[in-house]
Amino acid sequence: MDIWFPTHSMLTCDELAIVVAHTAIKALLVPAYRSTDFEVHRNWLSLTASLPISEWYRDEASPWTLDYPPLFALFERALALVAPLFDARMLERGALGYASHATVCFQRLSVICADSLLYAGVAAALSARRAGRSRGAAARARSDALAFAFVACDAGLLLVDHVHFQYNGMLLGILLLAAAAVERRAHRSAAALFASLLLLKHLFLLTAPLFFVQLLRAHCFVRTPTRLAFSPRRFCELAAIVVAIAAGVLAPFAAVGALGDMTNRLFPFGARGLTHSYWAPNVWALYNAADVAAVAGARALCAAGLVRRDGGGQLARAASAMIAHTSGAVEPEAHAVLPSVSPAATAVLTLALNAPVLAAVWARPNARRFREALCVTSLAAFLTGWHVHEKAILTPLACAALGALDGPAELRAFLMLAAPAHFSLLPLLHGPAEYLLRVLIPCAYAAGAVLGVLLVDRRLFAAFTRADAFYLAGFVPLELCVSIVLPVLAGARLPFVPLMLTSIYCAFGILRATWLLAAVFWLARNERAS
Amino acid sequence: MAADGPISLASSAAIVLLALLVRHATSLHPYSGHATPPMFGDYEAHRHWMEICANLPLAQWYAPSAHNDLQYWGIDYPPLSAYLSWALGRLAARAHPPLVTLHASRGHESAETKRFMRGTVLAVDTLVYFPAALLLARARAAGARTPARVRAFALAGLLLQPALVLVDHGHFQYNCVSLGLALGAQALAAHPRAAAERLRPLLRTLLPAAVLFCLSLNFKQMSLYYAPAFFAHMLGLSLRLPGSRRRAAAIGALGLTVLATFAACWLPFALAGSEASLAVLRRIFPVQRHIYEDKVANIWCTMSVLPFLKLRARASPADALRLSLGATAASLVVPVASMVRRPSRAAFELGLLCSALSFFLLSFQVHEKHILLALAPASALLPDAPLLVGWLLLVGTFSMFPLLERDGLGLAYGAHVALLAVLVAVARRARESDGAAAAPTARPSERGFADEPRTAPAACARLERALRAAARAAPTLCACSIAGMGALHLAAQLVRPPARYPDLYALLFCMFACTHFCAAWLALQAWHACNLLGREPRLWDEGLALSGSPPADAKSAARRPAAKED
Repeated sequence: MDIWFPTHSMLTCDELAIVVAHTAIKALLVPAYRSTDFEVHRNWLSLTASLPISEWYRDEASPWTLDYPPLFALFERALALVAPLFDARMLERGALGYASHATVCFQRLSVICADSLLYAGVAAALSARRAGRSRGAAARARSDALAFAFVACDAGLLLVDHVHFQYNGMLLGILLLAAAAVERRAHRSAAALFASLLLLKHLFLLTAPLFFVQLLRAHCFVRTPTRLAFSPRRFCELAAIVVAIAAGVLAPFAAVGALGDMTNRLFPFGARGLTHSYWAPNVWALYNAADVAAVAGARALCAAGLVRRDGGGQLARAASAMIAHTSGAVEPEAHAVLPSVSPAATAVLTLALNAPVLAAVWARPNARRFREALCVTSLAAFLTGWHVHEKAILTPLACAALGALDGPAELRAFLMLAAPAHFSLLPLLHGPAEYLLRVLIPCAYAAGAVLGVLLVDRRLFAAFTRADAFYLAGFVPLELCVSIVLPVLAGARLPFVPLMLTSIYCAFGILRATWLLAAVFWLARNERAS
Repeated sequence: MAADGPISLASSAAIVLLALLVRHATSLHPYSGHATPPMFGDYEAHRHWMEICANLPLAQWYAPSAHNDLQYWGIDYPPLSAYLSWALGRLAARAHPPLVTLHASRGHESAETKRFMRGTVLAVDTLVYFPAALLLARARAAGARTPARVRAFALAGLLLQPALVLVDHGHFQYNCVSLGLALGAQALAAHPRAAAERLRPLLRTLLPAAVLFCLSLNFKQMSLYYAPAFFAHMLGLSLRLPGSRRRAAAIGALGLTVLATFAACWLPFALAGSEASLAVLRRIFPVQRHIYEDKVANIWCTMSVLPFLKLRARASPADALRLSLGATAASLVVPVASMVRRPSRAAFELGLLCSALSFFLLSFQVHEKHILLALAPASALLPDAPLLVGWLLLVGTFSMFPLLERDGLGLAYGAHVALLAVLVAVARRARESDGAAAAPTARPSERGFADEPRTAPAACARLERALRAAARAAPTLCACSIAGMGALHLAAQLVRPPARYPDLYALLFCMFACTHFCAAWLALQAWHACNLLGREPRLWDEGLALSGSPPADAKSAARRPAAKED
């Protein structure tokens, strides 16, 4: 039971067809727009290939310094071994901004190949869920293929990884492999996979409490006839696995004394603000917006002569600092009216929101419900975390997509999350040249999703309400407004307004979807309990 | 209409959006002649036409002058192409003036203007080809047993067909306009109700079809490849009318419509003087050029590997012209007779394909891109014979590979082939699970003729048996053919051709593809011979039982149609 084979991640015929078609579209997107993240990763390739390990986290030749954990650096080092087959010049230290055709092909291809882990992860997660369900074989195959497409072909992932350029697919794949291992009760594999994931990208620390609680409760506690007994042997077993992996990866860095530099790079608290320059659509976006609105209100009151002018001047300065922040600068901002928020406060809030879920998992560590708990906790972290990037929504979105076809409530929660999540990622493609991609990728995904659900079982749409339809329809005027009306009317004067509108509208949608997903999680628990 | 349920709507939307995404993504790749002075490629040709048409008076568009050097990409398509160039040129003069300044804009290339030019192709594609494809898919689904499936896969075939996307949005051309107009004409003319034996309903569908087809002809003269089929089908339908006065009225009305459409298209040139019109004719029928260009997967080019059959070297252009015209005409006798004698939707669909293939294989001044004319009507048949049609589309794309690779479209080619493979696999599966494998596309009653002969001559039965045997062997043959194509691709990548034969691989690709086109063409001739002799055979048994996957389980087969047909 405990040994977990990768055979669970074998693809079915339908899934293979999806993978081939999806890969073909990625290949067509090779010459598409790429953000500075392309140069970031090229720099890391060149940095890891040409510098000794002690310099990796110290080098500042390029502004795009290495700020991912060591296993990712080693991954880049491995890629750099293959790179000379395409174009050796991309590895030279002086080649800042180098992007020959072969370099582009190589880097894009590396993302496409790394996505095989995503496919494996999705297949494993689906097959873990499949075990023990009793539905008709044909219906199950079709709905599984659709769920596979929901996750693997996600419009947001395509946009962020294969246009914007990042390796989120691979990381998400490993997370799903770990979650699937938990669902199969293969706890040792889960611990190993999750430890590796943390060493690839430390952002997944936000999901660590859940993994810790689940593994501790389900693996290290044994039920005796009278009570729950802690088994030190089993705890040491898991701890040994995690420590061995961490030590194996960190040892080369520790040997050259680079751990301090690494920590400074990985956790740059103080240098970052509450929100990213483009407000990720979470609670803090609404908080900032409320602050801006309060300033605007106060200024109106000043103008009307109801308040003394001095206070108004101060407010205006604070507000303009905040607005400068939304238009690009990455620096801590101060709120003008509302109290400023500290990193510790966000951490407490996140933990407080997660606590009931963690408690529920502790009370009944049901492996079948682990993915839903993962979805809710990562969503809470997204909503309340410190300096969250808009891309962090991809994790809860994938978790919601996996179970989207379990029932009407699940489908509704997923689609109501996917719409604002995808829309909030669109500002990544901001140029006029990218406009068609920006419209076509999410629209094609949405049309495909609706068609897929109709083909599987149209009754799944039963839970949608009129309010949902209104919210979804709202994206049309919003898009017209942020892409056409405002740029034409306001020109360059108000560059932050479209981004602010997008964040606020999407933040409402994501909050609402969080409510729906939490309802799915708790109701399903109670059903099972009764 | 039954096919208008939510599934049809959602599948149409999904296919259209996917097709747009695929087109846009393809257009990010290089175009023909990118950064290769002095002549560049088709992209520069179209840009140059925009420059000429936007800056010179109409009478000088096709005529040599100090401002119009015909040796440098002189315009060689009929007036509608020139009008489109004019309209786009005027647009460019506003949006990007350097793109179309007279003389100074030669070889103008920039990321911004590439986007503009690509955008124009996408726009006319969306405005002309997409509606035509939607119309044709809808017309094909009418009367089918599983309309939603036929409609979805006909649309997918038409819109995701790799060759057209690669040539228009990769290589850079505006084939989508002439093909879209022709397919729109096909959708109108092939409508089953057109077989009604009353004059007015017939003309109501045929006259718009005739107008559309004439517009297509006036956009690119290559639409002539379809002319015999349109002529024969419309004549055949007209002759079905009871009473000689009605027949004469139908034929007269069609003739007048054609004349009027042509007159409208040519009017500006006629007003500019007879010399202007003659200049157009000289440019669009380049009889002084030779029988084929570069390497083409047709019979003349394939024959040229034998030195004594090398027409380009051994015959004058005039002789070659006479020979090719005669051969093409002879090859059209059977399909035309079959369509005139027993017109039907199937006969028309296969007649268009057969006629286009005849021209491609045997006519004069053929380019490798002209295979698009055969692939367009074939792609609409995807739901009926996914394997055969997919195979033909694959070979057609393969035959253009040397051209596409030269343009830097190798990656896009690979991606499109993979997409096609998935599309064919999905179409096959859907067809099997719908239990349509053994059912004809249209119910006999829909064909509208009372005089179906019950018995047919023995020759017909023999032909039909042969066709069926060939179709049953199709999966095996297709596998071998794909292996052959893969081997050729590998060899072309790994083994350098001998210095004496630098074009060896281009020629091998063409010959390989030519054998397939000839086989398809022979099968179509046999089909039309059968039809002529009195029985409409089915070309649709493609050996599904041999494909290894039995029809999907009974449960899903039973529920699927209920879910699909509202």
